[in-house]
Amino acid sequence: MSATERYQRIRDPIHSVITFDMQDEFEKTMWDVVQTPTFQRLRRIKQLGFSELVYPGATHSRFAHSLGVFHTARQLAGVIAKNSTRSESKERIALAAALLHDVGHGPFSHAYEGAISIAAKKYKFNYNAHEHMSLELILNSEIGSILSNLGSGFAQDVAMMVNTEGKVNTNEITSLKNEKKPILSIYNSIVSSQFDADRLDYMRRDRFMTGTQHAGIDFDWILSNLEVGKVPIGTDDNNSSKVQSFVINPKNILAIEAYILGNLQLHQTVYFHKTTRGIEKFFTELVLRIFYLLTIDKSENIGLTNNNPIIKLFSSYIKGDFSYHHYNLDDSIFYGSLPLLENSEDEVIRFYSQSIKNRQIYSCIDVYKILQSQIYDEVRLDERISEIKTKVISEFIDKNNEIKSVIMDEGDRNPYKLKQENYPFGSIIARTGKDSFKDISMISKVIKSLETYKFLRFYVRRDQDEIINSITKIITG
Amino acid sequence: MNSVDVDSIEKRVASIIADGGGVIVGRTRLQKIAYLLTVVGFEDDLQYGYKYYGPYSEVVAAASSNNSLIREEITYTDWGSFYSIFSLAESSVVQNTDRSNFIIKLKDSNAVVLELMATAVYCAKEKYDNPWQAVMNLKPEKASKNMLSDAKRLYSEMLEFITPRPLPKITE
Repeated sequence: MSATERYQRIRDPIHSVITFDMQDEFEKTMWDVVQTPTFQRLRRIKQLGFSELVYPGATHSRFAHSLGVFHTARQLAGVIAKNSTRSESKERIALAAALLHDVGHGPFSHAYEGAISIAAKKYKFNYNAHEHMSLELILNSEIGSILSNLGSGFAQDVAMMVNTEGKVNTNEITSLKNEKKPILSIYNSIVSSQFDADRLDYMRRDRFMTGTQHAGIDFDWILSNLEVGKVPIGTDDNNSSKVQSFVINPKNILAIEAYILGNLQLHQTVYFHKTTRGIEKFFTELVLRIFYLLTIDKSENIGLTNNNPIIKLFSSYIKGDFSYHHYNLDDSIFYGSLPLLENSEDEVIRFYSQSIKNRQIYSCIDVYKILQSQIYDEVRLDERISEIKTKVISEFIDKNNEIKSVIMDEGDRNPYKLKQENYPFGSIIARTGKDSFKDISMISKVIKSLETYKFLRFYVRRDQDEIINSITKIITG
Repeated sequence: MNSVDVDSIEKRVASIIADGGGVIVGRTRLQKIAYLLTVVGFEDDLQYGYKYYGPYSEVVAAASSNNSLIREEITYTDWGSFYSIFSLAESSVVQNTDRSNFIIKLKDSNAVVLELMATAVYCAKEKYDNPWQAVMNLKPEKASKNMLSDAKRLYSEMLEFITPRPLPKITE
């Protein structure tokens, strides 16, 4: 068999060539998983949601990212194999989990998640977060049947590995109810850690595709200076034993500082960009309005037929008969529905769908940005921000379902969290001597001094000059 | 000086710290104490599931970060890790009650031992056939012979405390 026949190869802007060996049972199975309709749906979900409205190049998909995560996971598994004893079974579970970790994402990735969680609270229905959907699809869709070629419990093992952080209560998933609780190993770090394959891919891919030139990471250097160490663990202040973990050697410190700083910069400039977040807010308002009309039996005013996947999925949430079969939304369905929504009989639906389609954003008042140059004391700044938030909410934020004059957005990002609960897997550990290790924050003053990035923004309709002036006055005092 | 009211999760977590003498060392200790208080009926509705270190409550974790009632100071260990010390923003009277006796015994225990014991209780409540064996399977890196033996001893000692409900029976 020639190399051309033996290997399936995918060109990738970050990794150049991602290969699948068709004579390798595991890789052949992963290739079959990639061909399923459930996985192919990821081609139609943009990795960065609405970010392309700011960065026109950022049209890359969850599909490309998932393949990149699989490829990166293979490289991390190579680090384990080089520095320690390889466990082929755990490696396979970790690689499959890396490939499938995002398979449950909804349209526009995190934007959908935010909108549905607000709608679920407001209209009191249960919904499953993308982490939960990933587990359902791994176990119950055609992906589960293909994974079972690698062993009867393989799909369950992959699902448990995807759920390393325990975000999903596995008792809520029938086929995981009696599953043993996972024992964490270094292989879990490939899927979920400060160095996981997900972050190592998305940082490089998002930087490349947005075209931003900061936030670069020295990937090859990081990997070549990544080792496996037996790290002391314990509970709270009591030491107990040692476990295997990825550790960085002293030559890696500067590269890791840049990696952590780069991740923060990507959040500041890309993921939390004011325009992207503003459009996400419109998307949320649109979703909320669709739910509102469905709950008051006015679905005919929405402008979509009952066969539209958006209506079918949202109705299933409200009726409480949701199953993973309904979960087939993607960005193309939403964009394809926009021209219909634009002609809706409902004014609110018309307004927000036109605003998204034509990128007609509100004016943005960035409160931290205004005050950071005036108040240097962090505690005082937070107190002042809290006062402003309370005042603006009480005076200007509408709770009704109509077109909003003011929309609030807030968020934060801690560049390096001290994760005690899953130390060392949630931490970056540096080797400081032959058998001594320390958390990176103990030896890097740069990382130790990094503070949480916060933002509070008010988006105001551009024709509401009076409100813009009033909010500005509240802020400047 | 004031004693802490119990009408929100933050206040309830603060009351656990208060009844433990005003200081509890370690997130895991605090989590496991709150869990065991729930099991024996000194607390309710703290919504526990299973996470890395055994029974874990998101609401307790969220309520115990720095807030108006609780101070969290992060300190490093000499073996490269870190842990939290929880104290009250305002000092409080320790009440010599059955509940505070129960908490003080747990907070003075080795955190690894407490983690193993609380996990065994969790496994017993989840109806595992042999909870101690389950703990050995779940935490092979921590459940050494000595630690497990200490955890069993701690469990036996806790059975002697006066509680609204008994701890679940754990047979070997």
